[in-house]
Amino acid sequence: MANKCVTCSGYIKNTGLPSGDKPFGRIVGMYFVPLVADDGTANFLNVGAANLNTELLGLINHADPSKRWYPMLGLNNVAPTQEDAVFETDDAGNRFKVRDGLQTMTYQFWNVSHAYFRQVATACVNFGIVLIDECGNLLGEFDDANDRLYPRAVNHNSFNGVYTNATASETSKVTITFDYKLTTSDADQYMLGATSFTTVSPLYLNGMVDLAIKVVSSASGSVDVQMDTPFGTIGAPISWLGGSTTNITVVNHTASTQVTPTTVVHNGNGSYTVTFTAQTAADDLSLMVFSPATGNNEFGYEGESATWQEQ
Amino acid sequence: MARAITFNVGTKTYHVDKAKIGKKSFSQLKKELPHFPDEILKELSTPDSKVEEKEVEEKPTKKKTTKK
Repeated sequence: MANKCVTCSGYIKNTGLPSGDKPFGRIVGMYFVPLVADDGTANFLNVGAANLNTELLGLINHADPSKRWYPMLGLNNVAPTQEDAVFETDDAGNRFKVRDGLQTMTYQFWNVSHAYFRQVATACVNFGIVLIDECGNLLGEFDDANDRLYPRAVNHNSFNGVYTNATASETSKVTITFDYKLTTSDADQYMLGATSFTTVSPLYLNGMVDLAIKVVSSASGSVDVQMDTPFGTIGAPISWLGGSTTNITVVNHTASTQVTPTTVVHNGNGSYTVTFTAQTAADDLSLMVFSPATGNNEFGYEGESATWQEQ
Repeated sequence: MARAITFNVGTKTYHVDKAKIGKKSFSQLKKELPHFPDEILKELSTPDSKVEEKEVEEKPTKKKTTKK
């Protein structure tokens, strides 16, 4: 990453501009990226990877939430604003630039529910953003030496989300605002072209969906569960219908093992009966779902039930 | 990765890990998966059930022979 504080080498930079150098377009989405994962490593997109399609898809559906990239797509009224720079003025009126003005990002989600607001209303970790324009280009901070695209750091303490109910003339809206960290600059942002992706597009890669998994009843080697998303209404949640033996796992917390189910029966409306090799009686078990998206427009799902004791 | 076979019967969807089920007779499956419809159990069971039962019965004998 460039350091904006050390850009002057004693000369003015050359100003020639070859044709074909296109600017980043209108912002329609962004990725929220935790700056540092739980293992202490910084999060980035490996631009030098052999297959950037699987690289990006893997980040959006990463099994470790602290390494995951969280897409915010379909943004409305995106308004990046910048305050005036701060100057000190002497008694003769000469101005001396002290620092750049604060940059703020504002955008809205239109016609979304309070349930979605609950998902996007807070950001409690240090995070940064990688912007997506209407062509599917990405914009972030680039480490040329290591081929890594990093997110631009945000002052997460400035993050604010507001829900506005629909009126007679306006749809419901969620308005999000936050400031970039003062140590970041537009001069440090680099564009990764949409053509870097061939089988997927950043415009169509959706974020994962949380699942609430409730244990209804259990027997030795068998459990009945209800799997719902956080969306829908009270008593009528939107259920998950995609459970199978390939994306459901029984976790044995006592033995620290994971068991693949023998059968998974979807009884309808998110109600499942899962059978598995019977575990030792009184072992603490839970049911875990991890179902990553495999391409454009798909949704990944994840969730884990509370524990129950094997009969 | 688990090999899942999917059956749709009425409003229900049945996913089965064929590798975990193994080769079993209809009656064995009926006992293990009482919540499964017979039509699925028939498909999951090996066609010649007598051979399966014979295989199951023979296993302990074979082990004993090996130990000796």
